[in-house]
Amino acid sequence: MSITIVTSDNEQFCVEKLVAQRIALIEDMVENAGDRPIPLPNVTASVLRKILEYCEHHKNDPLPPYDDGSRSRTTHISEWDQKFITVDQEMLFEIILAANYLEMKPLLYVRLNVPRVQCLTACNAVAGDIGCKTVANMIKGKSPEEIRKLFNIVNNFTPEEEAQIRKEAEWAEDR
Amino acid sequence: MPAALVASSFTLHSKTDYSVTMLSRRGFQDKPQWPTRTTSLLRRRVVQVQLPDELLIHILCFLNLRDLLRCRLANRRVYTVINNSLTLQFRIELSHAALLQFSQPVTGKTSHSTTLQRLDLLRKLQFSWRNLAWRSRKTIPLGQPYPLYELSSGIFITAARRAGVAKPHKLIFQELPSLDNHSNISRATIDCGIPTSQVCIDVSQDLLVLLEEGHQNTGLLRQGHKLSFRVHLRSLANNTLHPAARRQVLEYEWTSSWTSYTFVMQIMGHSLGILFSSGVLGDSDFERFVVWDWRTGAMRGMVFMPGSRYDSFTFISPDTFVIPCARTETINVFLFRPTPPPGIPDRGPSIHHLCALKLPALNPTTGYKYINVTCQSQPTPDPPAHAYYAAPHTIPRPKSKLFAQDQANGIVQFTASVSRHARTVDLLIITHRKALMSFVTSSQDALGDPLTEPWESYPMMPAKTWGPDIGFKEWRAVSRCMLSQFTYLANSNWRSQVFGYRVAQLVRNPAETTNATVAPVSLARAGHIRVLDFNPLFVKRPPLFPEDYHHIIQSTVTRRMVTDVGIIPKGEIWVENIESSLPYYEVTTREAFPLAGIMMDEERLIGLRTASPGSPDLVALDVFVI
Repeated sequence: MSITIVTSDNEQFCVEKLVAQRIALIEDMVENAGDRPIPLPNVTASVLRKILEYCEHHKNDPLPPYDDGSRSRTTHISEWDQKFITVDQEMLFEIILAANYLEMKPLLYVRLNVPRVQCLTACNAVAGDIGCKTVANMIKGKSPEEIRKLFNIVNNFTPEEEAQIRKEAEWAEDR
Repeated sequence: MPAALVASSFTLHSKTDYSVTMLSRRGFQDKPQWPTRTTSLLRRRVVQVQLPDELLIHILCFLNLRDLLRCRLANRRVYTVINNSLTLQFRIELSHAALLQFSQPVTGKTSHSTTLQRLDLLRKLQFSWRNLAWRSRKTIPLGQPYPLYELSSGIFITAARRAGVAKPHKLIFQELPSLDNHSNISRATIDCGIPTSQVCIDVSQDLLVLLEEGHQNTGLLRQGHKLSFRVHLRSLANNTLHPAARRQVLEYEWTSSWTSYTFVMQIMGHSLGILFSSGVLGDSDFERFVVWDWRTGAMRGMVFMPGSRYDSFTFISPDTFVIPCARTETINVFLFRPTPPPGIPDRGPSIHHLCALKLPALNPTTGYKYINVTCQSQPTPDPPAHAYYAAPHTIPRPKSKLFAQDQANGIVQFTASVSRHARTVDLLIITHRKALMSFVTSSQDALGDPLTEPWESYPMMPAKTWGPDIGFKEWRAVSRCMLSQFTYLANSNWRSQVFGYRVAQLVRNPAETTNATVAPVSLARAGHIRVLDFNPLFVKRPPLFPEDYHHIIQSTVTRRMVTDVGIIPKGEIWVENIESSLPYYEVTTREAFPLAGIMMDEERLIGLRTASPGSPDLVALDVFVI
């Protein structure tokens, strides 16, 4: 059985149900939609194509373990995932956003009736998570100026403020 | 998000009425921060896609402490997000305390289920350790147990004496008071069915190791006697055969000229090490250190050298261990050669003697000698696995823990006793395990590929005045040397005990600095409790707490930060000044306690009471829960 999805730029995708089930938002919509196509007005075709590629590759994987967000985490990324996420920075952020919007968390938590608030911290467990890890890896070892460049943001601290914040965190710098 | 933008995105992209209702239900009300396609398209010309706070936090969760704190400097938004996120603040405090969180199951009732509660507990623990402000003190009588002691994860193990039987068959498992449990303390006597000479446990691996002597040991042995030992591997939960061990009993025997002997046991990961040494000074037989892989039952290797006087050992990783030696005045570092894959021949001995670090040289004109060098570190503070708690059990088990110490900051303590006639001085040398490990790693690189290079050709590391030059830093920068004044205690491990990155000591006079000249031996039984904290982050960060109880704390403890270079002056004992500068934080009680020794773990200090000064027999424990 397959499902039809329409992206924001009006492209139609025909998706196997097993693949689409990895996406919580679509899973919810399928119940109500019947035969009608499912619209995703926040996702473009290029991003959806990437996400579906991911779902296709991982459709038989077991669901990842629950993560309450406070455990120390590994930033290890598997070989296939690494290749998958080797995209330009804009696409990377788009994937993270789209995965978040599509609630690509394992459906297990929904079935176990874990409260929604817990689901939120466990969200992005799939494609978005790899995106987040990739961004985190980009931040590692960078100076504040390089981090600004990465996020395309400007320094809006006064020099005094900056010095103060730097002083507050001195203890964590290299010993 | 402005309402107009939401509406326009609907008109732009919605094809049916149905989708409008769906999106307003799911996409926007639940996630007000989601930028619509329209906003992201508009923004893209100026800045990139804007991540909502929730996703930014999620990304920052993957960072280590230093990178996370550096991100605060990026701009106001990131700074605010980090400072206002409870999850991230908790992670900062956790890293600062050099702790790891023990993951909790999703379901199941725990007393600290919210991040706020965990953060609160973390801060209280930090405050209590900083000020030795214990929340309870309890004396636990032990009766007159057999002198066999083991402490791990809040369980104190000793053995029951039985008239007429040389070695105990019954072990007593005494639960100690903890954070969650002050009064309902359990105690169980377990019959092992074998005469037990030594016991060692590893809670994280559910492992109980019992050492049995297969020969008659009545205290004095004939020369040429055959010594045989059996090592029993059991499950700690219920004293049955250990499910992960392929062989339940490991055997070891040899013919010895010893008239008496002692042994030390330690477990780290899959390695189980036992050091057998002669109890008589100057015995000509070999000291033996044997390491097994307890899961497969295979012997990983053996170290022995004639008459070397090895007194103790400690693992610094499952594949690396140190053995100090008094006769050669060295600390020896050993490394297991990795096992070659099947089909490739083994190139040499499985254990490689990596180097010998020289102890500070003694003054040759005064006749002082190193008589005994021991080492100590706590290799297994890992929290128990969930499976351990899930299994049915008959032995009291430690409570499920929330935090575990990060092994990266663990320390090793060496105690070198120097003696001439009746006068003995103890030199303590403390260093981070990672300092030794980085030295091991760099040496390992120099050795080359273990499969193609014959490692034994590598020369011993040259020794400097005191220790080697560890490449990245001078040895004195990563070590701290001090003199210990408590030299009369029956068990040298009792006067200064290591757990993770802390050292607990008994000191006679709290005003005494640890670098002071040697005080005369005293048999006074009252000692002040002193805790040294070598967690580098803890030392460097200014106190965070408002210190509400400042006046109370001030009257019960003295605190100081030690960051200067400590010098033990040359002279009668040593030919050169011993300099060291590893910084630490020190807190000492003003009150003196009538204790014969001290032990500790992550949440308590355990004072040891003996029948008389200098006696090795414990009669009670004073437990201070932090």
